[in-house]
Amino acid sequence: MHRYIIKRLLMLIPVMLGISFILYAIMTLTPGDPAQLILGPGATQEAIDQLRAELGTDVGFWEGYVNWLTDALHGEFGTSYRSKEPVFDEVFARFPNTLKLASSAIIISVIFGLAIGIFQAVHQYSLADNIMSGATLVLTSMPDFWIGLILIIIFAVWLKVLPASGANHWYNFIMPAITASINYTANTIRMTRSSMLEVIRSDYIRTARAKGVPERTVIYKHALKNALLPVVTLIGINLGWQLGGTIIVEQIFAIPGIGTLMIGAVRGKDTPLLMASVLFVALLSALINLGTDILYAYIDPRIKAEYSK
Amino acid sequence: MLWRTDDGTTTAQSSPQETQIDVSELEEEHQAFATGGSSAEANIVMQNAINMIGYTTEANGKGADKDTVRFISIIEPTTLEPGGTSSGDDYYRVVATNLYETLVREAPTDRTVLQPMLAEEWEIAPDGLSVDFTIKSGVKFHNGTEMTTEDVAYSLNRAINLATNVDLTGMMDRAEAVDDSHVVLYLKYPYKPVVNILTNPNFAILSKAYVEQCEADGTNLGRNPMGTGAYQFVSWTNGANITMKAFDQWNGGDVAIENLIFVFISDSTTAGIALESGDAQLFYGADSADLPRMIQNPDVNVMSVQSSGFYFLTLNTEDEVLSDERVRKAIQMAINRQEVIDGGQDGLGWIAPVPITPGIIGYPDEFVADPQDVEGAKALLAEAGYSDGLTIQLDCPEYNHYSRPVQVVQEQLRRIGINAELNIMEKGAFDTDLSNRNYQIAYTWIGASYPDADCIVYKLFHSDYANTTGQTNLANVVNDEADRLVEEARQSLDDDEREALYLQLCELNQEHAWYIPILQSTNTVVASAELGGVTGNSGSFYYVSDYTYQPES
Repeated sequence: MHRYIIKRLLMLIPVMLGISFILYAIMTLTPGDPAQLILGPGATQEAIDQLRAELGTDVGFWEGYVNWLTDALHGEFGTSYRSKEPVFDEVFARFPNTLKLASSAIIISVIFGLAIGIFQAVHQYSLADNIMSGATLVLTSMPDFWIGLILIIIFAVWLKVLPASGANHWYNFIMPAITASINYTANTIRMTRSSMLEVIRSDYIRTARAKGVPERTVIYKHALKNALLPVVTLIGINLGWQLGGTIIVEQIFAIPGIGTLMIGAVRGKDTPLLMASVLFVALLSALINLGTDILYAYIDPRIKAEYSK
Repeated sequence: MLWRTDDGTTTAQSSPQETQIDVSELEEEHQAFATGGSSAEANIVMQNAINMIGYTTEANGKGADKDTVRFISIIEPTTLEPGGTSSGDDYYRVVATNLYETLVREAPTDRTVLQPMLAEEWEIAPDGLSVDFTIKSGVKFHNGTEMTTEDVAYSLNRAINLATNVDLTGMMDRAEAVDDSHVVLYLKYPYKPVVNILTNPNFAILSKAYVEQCEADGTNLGRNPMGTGAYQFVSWTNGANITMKAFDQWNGGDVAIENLIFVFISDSTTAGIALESGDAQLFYGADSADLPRMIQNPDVNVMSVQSSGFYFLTLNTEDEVLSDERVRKAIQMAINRQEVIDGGQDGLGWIAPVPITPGIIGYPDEFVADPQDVEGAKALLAEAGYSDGLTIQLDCPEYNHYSRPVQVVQEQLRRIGINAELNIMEKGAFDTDLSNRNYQIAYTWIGASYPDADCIVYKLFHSDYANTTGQTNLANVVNDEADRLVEEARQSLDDDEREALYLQLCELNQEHAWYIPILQSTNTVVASAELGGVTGNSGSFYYVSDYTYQPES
């Protein structure tokens, strides 16, 4: 198990290198010059050249990447071209908001996803099951920005009980978390339901029932644990996605998170800031994936046995 | 040094995080309970919700604190360092106007009239080569130190040497403090509108000692701004807001609004809702699509004025197809400006017949634009050998205020048989292509950084700026008559004569169809109806110190 974890952690190195290279290539080889964007349309060539030299963008692609990588390996990720703040100061100023949004959205989707999914599987083909299946289908099809605006109109404009924007208080996150969670909740419901149904039909469940184990124990002790595997994968993937910043939700509710930070960095051609924020998010996603894999072992002893080999 | 390179050393100097006060305190004060709802049931539901979360916004801000203004801006400034961003950056300007002061300011309703600010008066020398400013005495910086003429001269020299100001400072040589109440600005050549340039917040007066201290200990001036303005900096929460409070030793006296909070909401619809629901009192940068709704709302005032600039088509005369004047003329004849405004800007905007902003010195009132002539345009195209039509690339930046109007232009060109392939580009890429003249037709914007026609036309028309990099003579106009007109107009000190010369230049432009001005953009601020004293301003100078809450009726 330990060997497996170490192996996975070592594999992160080439992944991070690959990501940084691809990002750097995209930022520098696509048209658009940060110096020109900062100086504005009236800038002279001389001024642009001077600023390029100061930003360090006047060197060739390979030299630039090697310079960045050398600094990064020394822990120097540089300062933002535009704000001149150290890049990780900006990332860490924004990250708590994204974390709050992502974790509350995941909690909502896990609670409702599992509860409704199990209920549907246990009451397969009942009226409630059919209605909920229809509802989840509708929910997965609704785009974030639409749900967000509808919630704003109902709760901020009509009822005036929730603020339309901002991130200063916990109640600022109610509508964004619901908006961000709706698609994930619907997916979790569908995944839980189908996974449960598959397990419920298996032989060992029939055996358990045949020997007179109470239905409640059959469902929650025998069936759920096996049915959880794909659901845990889904939650892990969702969390990774959410930590990358739910850009649209952040935009609609004016939450200063990682997503809007990255969009700003792309628009302003702020390479150091984008590199730092994307690498940070990528590292987090990779670690969450690893965490999910480790979690498998605890849920399913068969996998633990696999790891140990 | 212009752009401090960070050597990675950190100092104990206050960072934004450390100086930050708890904004939530202000917010809590701002909150009040609401009642309302149509049915008893709704009231109970709502009351439960209120009890649960302890929050409600008050309809239209009535009952909110009368000493706080929340000012929404659609874009967060990248820095608050004067000169840290381009001289035309309006999002920096909206915030900086309240923090810093310049020597002079533009009158709120007439850009061409200058008002004293930190300079009490000024005099241009008879030879036009220097300007003598009498500096106000007893002005305090936010840290309590007194402003000296040394600070003024230092700030001007700093601005003159900044790369971000090169488009404005070409005629300026240096500034010198001659005694403790006079500063002289020396010019390289006489230039009448030079004092108008100093209204730009990139020429804000800074404390020499403070700037040098920041440079010495590595403090980011852009995140720790300090000036002489009506409001002093309190905190900057990255991506969310900038908080300021009234400066109690401000040289302009007392202000009615004690707390000023700039809130950044990038989605125009959300921002409009925040204003309409009373979460904010001012909103700058509204999308034109959101304005019709807000105009209907009696609780907010939409104040639109003509902005300092205009949108136009630039036709690259170096391009194989567009080097033929007949093709350019045909394109000019195809355009119906009112249609573009109605279809692409929700009817908001004004027709721009000439490449000069109205209301600035040199604007030729007598100019008559040729009317739209679809048949004539088709005939000209046929004469140029394109009777079967032609395909042309039409570029614009990705934002709505460019891409929507340009779609109407595309349709108008289709009517004369030109298939314009619309290429909506990322702004950075668009700027680069324009700078390198790597385009056929582009839809772009230019503004008057100071209210004089010269600041627009000299760089658009003079052959010195053709075929260079930089967004100056975009169409690559090389024409002796155009050169003569812009040069003569620039040197003349007689406004009537200058206007006559600019009229000739605009007629010459129409004759050759280099640039096709389309529409005069609007500069809009939306304000809560309870906030008094707010007026639209073409230069984006919104001084919150001028505003007050209206007494409740």
